[in-house]
Order: sequence, then structure tokens, then C-alpha cells
Amino acid sequence: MRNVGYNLRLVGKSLRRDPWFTVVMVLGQALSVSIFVTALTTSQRYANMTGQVRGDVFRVERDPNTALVRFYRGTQFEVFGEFSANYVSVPTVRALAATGLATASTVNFVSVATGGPVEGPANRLAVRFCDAGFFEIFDVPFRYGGPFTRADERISPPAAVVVLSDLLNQKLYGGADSTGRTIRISGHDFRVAGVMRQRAGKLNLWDFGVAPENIANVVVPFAFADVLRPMPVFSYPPVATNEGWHAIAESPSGVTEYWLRLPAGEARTQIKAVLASIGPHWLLRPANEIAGRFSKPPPPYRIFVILTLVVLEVSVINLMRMLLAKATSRAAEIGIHRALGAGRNVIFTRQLLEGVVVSMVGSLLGLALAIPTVTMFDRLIPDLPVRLAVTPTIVATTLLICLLAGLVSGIYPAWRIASVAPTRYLGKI
Amino acid sequence: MNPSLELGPILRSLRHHKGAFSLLVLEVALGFVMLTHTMIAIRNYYRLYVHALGLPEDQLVVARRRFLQPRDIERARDAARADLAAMNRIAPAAAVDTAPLPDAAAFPAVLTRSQGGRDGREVLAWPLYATPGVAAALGIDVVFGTGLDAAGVADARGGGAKPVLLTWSVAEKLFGTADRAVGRDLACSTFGTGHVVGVARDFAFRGGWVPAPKAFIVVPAQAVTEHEIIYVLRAPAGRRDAVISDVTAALAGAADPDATIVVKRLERETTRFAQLSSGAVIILIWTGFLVVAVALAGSLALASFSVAERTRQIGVRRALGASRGEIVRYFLLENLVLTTFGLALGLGLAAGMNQLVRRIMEDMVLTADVALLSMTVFLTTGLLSALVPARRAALIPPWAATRTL
Repeated sequence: MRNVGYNLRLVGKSLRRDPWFTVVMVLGQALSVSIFVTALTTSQRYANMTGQVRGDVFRVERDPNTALVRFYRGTQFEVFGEFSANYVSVPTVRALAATGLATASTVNFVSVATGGPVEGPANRLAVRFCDAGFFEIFDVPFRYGGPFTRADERISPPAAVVVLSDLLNQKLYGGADSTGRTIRISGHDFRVAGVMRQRAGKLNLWDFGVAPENIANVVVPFAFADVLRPMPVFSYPPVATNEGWHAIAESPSGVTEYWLRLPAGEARTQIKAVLASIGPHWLLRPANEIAGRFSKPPPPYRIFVILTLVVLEVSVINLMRMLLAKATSRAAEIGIHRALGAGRNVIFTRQLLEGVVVSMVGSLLGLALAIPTVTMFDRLIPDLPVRLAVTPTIVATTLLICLLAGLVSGIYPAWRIASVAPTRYLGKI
Repeated sequence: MNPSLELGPILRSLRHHKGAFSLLVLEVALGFVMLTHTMIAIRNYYRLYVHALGLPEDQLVVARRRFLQPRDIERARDAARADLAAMNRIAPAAAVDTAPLPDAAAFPAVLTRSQGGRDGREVLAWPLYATPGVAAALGIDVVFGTGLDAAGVADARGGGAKPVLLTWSVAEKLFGTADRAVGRDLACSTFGTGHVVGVARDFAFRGGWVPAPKAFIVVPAQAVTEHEIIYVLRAPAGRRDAVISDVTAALAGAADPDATIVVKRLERETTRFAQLSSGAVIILIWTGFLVVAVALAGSLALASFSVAERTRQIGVRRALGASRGEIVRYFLLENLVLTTFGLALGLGLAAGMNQLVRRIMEDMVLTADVALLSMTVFLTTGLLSALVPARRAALIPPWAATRTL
């Protein structure tokens, strides 16, 4: 430990000897790290979705339209063709719900209506229709209040209660506790029962397939669909816009996702049999598999991460060059150290430590610089309403990568300088 | 001194300092890989931003009637008819199923020829459901056949083939040549059978972001929902604001307290995708600048070391009669050789990387102009970074050769 302290002091001395050189090394590393961290935050928006759903949850799907899958492949909307598999018709939902086999189930689709807080003017309002099972299936965390329940749905008429997404609550009420407030949707008044909590810097599994401008939405019980007459934003095969809700609800077009929680064994077999009776291409897709599929960021972000990794590599090589030049210029001094008894391992460790120190200081500065860079990225590329965030996972990943980068950039110069023969320079002094 | 004669000492020097020089070559190579791909991405996003949509964007107005409560489709259609009659007195107008340049992708329709589709191929096209006046309202140029107006159709739902208008690129893909499309039938995955009444010059109603943005099929329909009616209008050049004000008054004047009216200019620059593409260009320029700046700053900072390390060598050359200019040239030539090695390696790496990247996004194509531009950037910055140590080295006096360290 004392040796580490001593070596660190020597490294500090060495770095102070050429302050501008040190600044360039650290700054080069910091700028590269800042852009790399920004790229990581964009891809992290799609990570860790499996934790949002229970293991015994399934979604009803069918085979995607292959022409659509081909059409979107290699574009920034890559997964969009596959979404043609996700939509189930209302009659199918009713048939599956009638079996009573699921311990919890929910539809999930978004429509656009006119509305807002009763005290204000009516505006465009994205409305998500789902059942009370939604909150159980996705284990939805709440910032204020709580979900609407099956009891709310069962009473006649159903209780007029809704839940706000965190983002809509921000937009309508500035993030304040809005439980108990009244919101008017398509002319009907609803009481806000709760506000969901948005995970920092991460998309929710249930928001996949929802257009970004509709992610800030109000969650309304599906029991109100016949009253509010939604026009689902996406449907497959597409329904004509000039069909009213009642025609849509009777049509075979898929308009909603349908999620179910099924106990192992008989219930799953029976549901599969019901699906087979509806059509040949229907299947139960495990939610964990769906979460895994969505964990891949869209193509532009994947390319951005690759590019910033190359930037990081360039900066590592740059650092290696600079450490090597610095070490070489001090070869004579090192020769004296060696002649006075310093072993190769001592010289090697000290030089390696210098690389690691520069890399770590650079990465810490880079993480600090990443905060304004991420903010700038969010402003310039308002891709999704979920703001990017430098999470502890990103900080830990970055520090680990930078530690490795420091070791990599320090090893070659350290090896070179530790190989200097003590006799090489002695005669020249 | 003849440059070719200097290559010998340079190559010997490269062998002597192979560690440091290999790193420089590797840095140039990776920097080149990064810069070429950043440039490709910048080019693609810039194209999206300036992409000509084939519509008179500066003349278009979008109006919406939003119902405060769901309205029966028949009543919504009545409202649309009344609105269109009022608006058409001001400017050509039509109701459409979706606003132009929407910020979300959707599902295109799959088209096939009714009789013996060409090679059984399916052509995908974006459907636009609109009232028949849509060609005039959007300024669509019908080049073959007639517009939907002349077909004299409203909503032909349920009875026979629907008259449809195709854009040139769809007609060509489906029927070989655009002029042969008129009068032919097609099958559409969304509405059944269609009869082509006209072919229009290509236009992109959904913006340039979606795949095949100019593949469109225009289908006549009373485009209303139970919640909203969307209209497009074409205002004569320079009169957009006046039209907006007149249309707002006309729509608000209709006795319908149960609706809100929103009338706006069509502003492509303010749509989310336009912001994304301009933002992406800025971020990518910053990323590309970073890599060049990091490499350049590193090389400049190394100037004093690289000169100090070779003081004796330079002193000897000066003592043997090399002029200051020749020392500068020596350094520049050495850097040129290293950068060239780096770029040659980088070209190979970039080609490999491009294969990987194109598997993720097909339009990230490495082209010669991008490669040449990146090479120019690295050769220029390489020479710039060599100039500082070169000038410093040129100041070394011949007697420096006699120093021990």
C-alpha cells in the first residue's frame, strides 16, 4: 500500500513536469469518453426491460407480414414490420377473456382524443386503453396514488378513474401530485387515481409500438371504450379511419396488444387450443422473449455506439503514443533508476500506473462532460420524450472500460521503458 | 535534396522507431474508419433534411376540426362536407386520413397486379385516403390519366374497384412503365381491388424518413374519424397567412360549439423528424471533429518530444550540409509516408467496417467521395501536425550533433 502511495506521488510528479502535455492527454481522453457515454445513454434506453414483466406473462401474437418485415429491414424503423404480428382484434380479445383462464389480462392500445384538465382548454390527448390487469402484469411503479382496480371495472357503471403517465403528469400538472384531480376526455370526466413512475433514462416495455408523441398518455379502463369510441393509432390489417369504434370493435382487424398472465400447465394448453380455433397462425409469446427482442436499440443508435467506440480506441492509441513519447524522453533517467537498483517490475508498474491515472482522471472528467453533452443530445435529437440519463450502470460501465483502456494504453510504453538497459545511458552522462 | 533520396533515411528511421510509428499508423487508420462513417451518416441525415418532397410545402396549410365528444361518422361526414364547401371558396381543400409529414411510421399497403402480378412481386406503397379534391389541395401533378376529381367518385366503398391514383415510382414498379398503369386493376391489402385512373409525379406525403417515401397510392374516401377531421389546403404563394386567417374564421363560423379548430402552416422544419435529422448532423459533426481534434492535439503535443529525441540525428544532417528547408521537408515527407500507410490500412478497415454497418443500416454506403474527403482531412491535419516539429527541428544548429544527450 505504501508502495502504491509512493508510486502515485512519483506519477503525480511526472505528470506535473509537463503540465500542458498532461492536459492534452487528459482532455483527449475526457472528450472521447463524454461522447461514448452519450452513445451509451441512448442505447441504455432500451436495456433492462425484462425486470418490468413477470415470468408467467405472455402476449398473443401471430406471424408477422413478411413483405412488411422486408420493407422495414435495414432502416431506422427495423422492428416496425414485426409489429404487424402484435395486434389482436376485439372479438379475439373477448373470446380469450371469456375462457377465464388467465389470472390477469389486459388489452393495450393508444388512441388520440381531445381533452385535458377540466379547468383548462381541451387539447390533443393521447389515451391508452387497458384493463386493471395491466398494472399487475407489468408491475407498474407509482409516483403518486395507485392503479384503478378490477373492482373499479366490475361495478356498473365502471368507476370513472384514470391513471396518468409520469410524462403526461409533467406536461399537465408540472409534476405535482394530481391524484383526485379531474381530467376530461372526449367530453367525459375522470378522476385521477394515480401517476405512474417513469424509470430514469429507460423506455417502458409497454411503450414499444407507441409513437413518441403518444408516450405521454392517460391510461383509461378499457371498459370505457364503448363510451369514448377510440380510434386505435395502429391496426393490422389497417382499419379505415372512417370506420367508427363500433365497426372497428366488430371487425377482424387487429387493433390492440393482448397480454395474459397464465399459470403453468393446463391453462396454457387450453388457451393455445382456443387460439388454434381462431386461426392457424396465432401463438403465445413469452413476455421475457419480447423484452429481449426490444432490448436492442434501433439501428442509428447501434451505429452511434460503434462509432464512439472507435473514437475511444483512437483516444486510447493517442494516449499510448503520448505515454510512449514521454517515457522514451526519460529513458536516461530511467536508466539511472535501474542502475541504482530499481527492478524492471518497479519501473513497469510505475509507468503502467501513469497510464491508468491519466485514463481514470480523463474518464472522470469525461463523465462530468457527458452531462452537458447528453443534455445537448436530448435537445438536438428529441427522439423520445423519455430523457436520456447517465445512470449508475453507465458510470460503472464507463469506469470499467476506461480502466481497461488505461491498462491497455499503459502496458506497451511501460514494457518498452522497463526494457531499457541500465548501462545504455550511463556512459553518456 | 531529391525527395526520393530522402526516402531511404526515412524508411530506416521508421524501422528504428517502429513502435511509435506503428501507433501513429494505427491511429490514422482508425481515425479514417471513424471519419468516413461519420461522414456517411452526416450525408444521409443531411439528405433527409433537405429531401425534396415533391409538394409545394411553402403553400400548404393544415386545418383540423377536433370534436370535444365522439361524433357519429355520418355526422362527422356532414361536418366535413360543410367545411370543405366553405374552405374551397378560399383555397383548394381536401380532407385526408392523416396529416402530411406525420411524426410516426405506419403500415404501408401491399399492392399486386390483379391479373398475373409481375414476377409475383409485391410492391409496398403508403396509402393516402382523401376526398377527391386532394390533387389540387396538395398540388399533385397528374402526368397520366386523370385525377380523382375527373373520375367523379366519392367513397366507392363496397361497390367494385376503387379508382386510385399512383405515384410514378409505384406505377413503374407494378406495371413496368408508368403510362401503362392507367386503366389497369390492382389488388391492395387494405381495401381490396383498385382501378388506376391516373399516375402522379412522385411526392412524399409522409416526409422523407420512411422507407420508399415517394411510393403512394391515393384512394378516394370520406376521410373522417369520430374524433377529428384533418384538412389540407393549398394557399397561393405569399397568401398563406391570409388563407389561414380566412379558413380559421370560416371553420369557426360553422355553428359547432362542440369542436375546436386548429389551423397551421405546414412547417417541415418543425416536425420531429426534421429536428432529428438536423440534430443528428450537428452531433455527428461534433463526433467527427472530436476524433480529428484528439489526434491533431496529440500529434502537436508530441512535437517537442519527437524533436528532442532526434536532435542528434538532425544535428548530423545539418552538419552534413542539409539546409533548414530540407529538414522541414524531411519531417513532412516522413509524416506523409506514415499517414499514407495509415490511410491504406484505414481503407481496408473502413471497407470491413462498412460491411458490418450496412448489415445494420443498408443506406450507410461507403463511397469514393467520402473516402477521398476523409483522406484529404487526414493528409492536411497530418501535414499540419508535422509542420510544428519540422520547424522546430529546422532550428537545431549543426553543433547539436556533438552533444551527448
